[in-house]
Amino acid sequence: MKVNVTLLTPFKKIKEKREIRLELENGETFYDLIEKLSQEHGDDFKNNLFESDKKIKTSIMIMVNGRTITDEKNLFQRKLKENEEYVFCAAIGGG
Amino acid sequence: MELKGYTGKYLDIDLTNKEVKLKELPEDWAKNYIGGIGFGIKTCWDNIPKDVDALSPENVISFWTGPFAGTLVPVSSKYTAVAKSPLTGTIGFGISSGYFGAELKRAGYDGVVIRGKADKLSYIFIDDDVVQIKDATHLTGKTTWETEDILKQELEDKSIRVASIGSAGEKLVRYACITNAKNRHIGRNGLGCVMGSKNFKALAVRGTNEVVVDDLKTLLKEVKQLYKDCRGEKMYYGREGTPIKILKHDKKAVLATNNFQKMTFDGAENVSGEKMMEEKVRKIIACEMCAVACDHVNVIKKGKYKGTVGSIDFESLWALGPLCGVDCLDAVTKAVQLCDTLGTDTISTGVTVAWAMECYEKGIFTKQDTDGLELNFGNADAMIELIERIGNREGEFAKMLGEGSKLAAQKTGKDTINFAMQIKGLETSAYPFRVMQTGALGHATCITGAFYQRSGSYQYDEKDAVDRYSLDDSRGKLVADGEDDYTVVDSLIICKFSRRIYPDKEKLAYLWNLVTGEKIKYQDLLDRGKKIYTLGKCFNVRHGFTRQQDYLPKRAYEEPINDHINKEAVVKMDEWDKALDGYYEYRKWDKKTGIPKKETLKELDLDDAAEEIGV
Repeated sequence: MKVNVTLLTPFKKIKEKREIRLELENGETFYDLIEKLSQEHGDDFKNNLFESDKKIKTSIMIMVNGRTITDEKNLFQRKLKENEEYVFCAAIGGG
Repeated sequence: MELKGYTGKYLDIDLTNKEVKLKELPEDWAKNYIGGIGFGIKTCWDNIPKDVDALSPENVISFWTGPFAGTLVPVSSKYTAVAKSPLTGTIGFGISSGYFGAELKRAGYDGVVIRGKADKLSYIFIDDDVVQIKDATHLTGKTTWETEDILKQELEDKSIRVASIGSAGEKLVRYACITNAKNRHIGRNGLGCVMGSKNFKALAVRGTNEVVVDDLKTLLKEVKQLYKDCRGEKMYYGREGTPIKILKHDKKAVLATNNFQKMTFDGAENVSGEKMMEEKVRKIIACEMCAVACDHVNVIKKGKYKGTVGSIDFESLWALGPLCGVDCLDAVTKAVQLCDTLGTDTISTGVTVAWAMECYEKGIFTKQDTDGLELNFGNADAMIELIERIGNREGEFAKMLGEGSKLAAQKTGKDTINFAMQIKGLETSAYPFRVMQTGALGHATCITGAFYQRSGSYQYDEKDAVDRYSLDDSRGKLVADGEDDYTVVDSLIICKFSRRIYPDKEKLAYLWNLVTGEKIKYQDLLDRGKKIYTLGKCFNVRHGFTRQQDYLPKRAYEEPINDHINKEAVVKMDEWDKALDGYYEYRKWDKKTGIPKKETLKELDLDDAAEEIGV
């Protein structure tokens, strides 16, 4: 199963790419996706994403297929689906 | 004046008679109307009767600070200009920052009220307690940047602060802005056009007095932490800047493109905040008493726009980029520089040009109509040429566009009003109605026309905290509460980029206590915010506005958006009516007319407004 991941500010590109396509096993969850991205990207990814207690930072926004996800508990356990689009970006308003 | 933070004085200047009066600020104004837009709305209510044309000498434009300007409170060097808007006919105001607000306060004034019309182009120089109305004919046609430089030179002081208009304001472009510190603007609602109608080129200020606060020792302690918070991790404004929203909105499929016909933009990466930061930003500037430092200045070093300098935020980048189909950062920077120097609002300029581009692509305008411009979406050169002509009012086509998208569409006919993306005549900001419907409601109820900064209701959609593809009668509460909250912020005045350093609003009330000496809770400020907003609404009612004007352009109800994320996204009229009903009911206004009820106005101690608007 493959999903699409886009890394926007404050996340750095992976191998010069902002948008990547990742292969995961059927049944794997969003948390597995984070682990996989961390493997590809080292500690930078997790440091940008998590507070020290593994809570997602309030300065970060995660979107799944264009929808912002705010329910962290359900997000971690969310089963990934083929061709879903995950975006990691800054929680910033105004402008 | 019992409360501290205020000077307790303002200037009342009649340009027709060349009269300058020093007036006492009424004590009850501070306790009822806070400052900033609160004082401006009150001034308009007291001075601009029904039927006054926005471009006539009878219109009154006033400039105000709040109690925090000139103090140590972070992000507080703000000022506002308020008048009847020539673009909308509603109450009109904008807020700018830089150093001007603090300087005006230090000169000894909470505000300046300007009425009448000078017999020739003039500027006003406030030098502490010496106030002069001076000849500005030598500044005719000068850009805002040139005007600032010339005045500093001839007044022999580089630290004088100047708010001025460019040729767009002089030539009455209805969305002309007022510019200070070169890159800071009172952009919306055509306040620069009001200045132009009064032959009023600039307001220059030098202030050398102190601003007194009630409890300096405690305030010092409090602000130290706030300054640290301004540089915190959540404060993207000062690092990457709001342009990083381009890619985020593209991914969310809410990036209005080609005059709101599409919600994603193929060239988004080329005009992304990330690319801009990497390749174009050469300087980041802060306003007075601000540790956020959000002003990202692009310098174009090569190519045909070599030498261009432009300060770019998300709204300007969007309006002159994706909305016009333009995917070149150099061109967007050039367009922003032209708007800033000739003196037009970047949002209204972009939305009006995008409307013209859609007309051109639909064959409604030919090359002959556009005075030779091939106005296809994405034609950056044509966009830039058109912006220059609008600012200078050159040629019949650009003159028409200088009237704003609503009047231009009404003149053009052929149902082009259906896709003139404005409400009450004010061109809309970047939050598309069909896919961010709580934002749409906030844009429609907004007393100044389609603008996100009067309620911030788009944030519920951005976070998907609600179903953003539908509406119901519960959304009115979200919008109205946001309006009252933002009215407090715009009256104090503090910068909205401070929202993350004041997560607990009681902190703002506490700062109020320390500055003014009045011990109140945030709810007390909110009550004042509600009163101010309602008085602004009454101003609009006085000038003929009812529920009828709280509707979106037809495109929003009739043209569904379909793409990989949005499915048949459209605003349903029955839901819209329910949402409006819910808003008026929550406000305790008459839902049939959209007009505040007598008992509601009495509750807010606005009995005179009830009598005036006949309820």
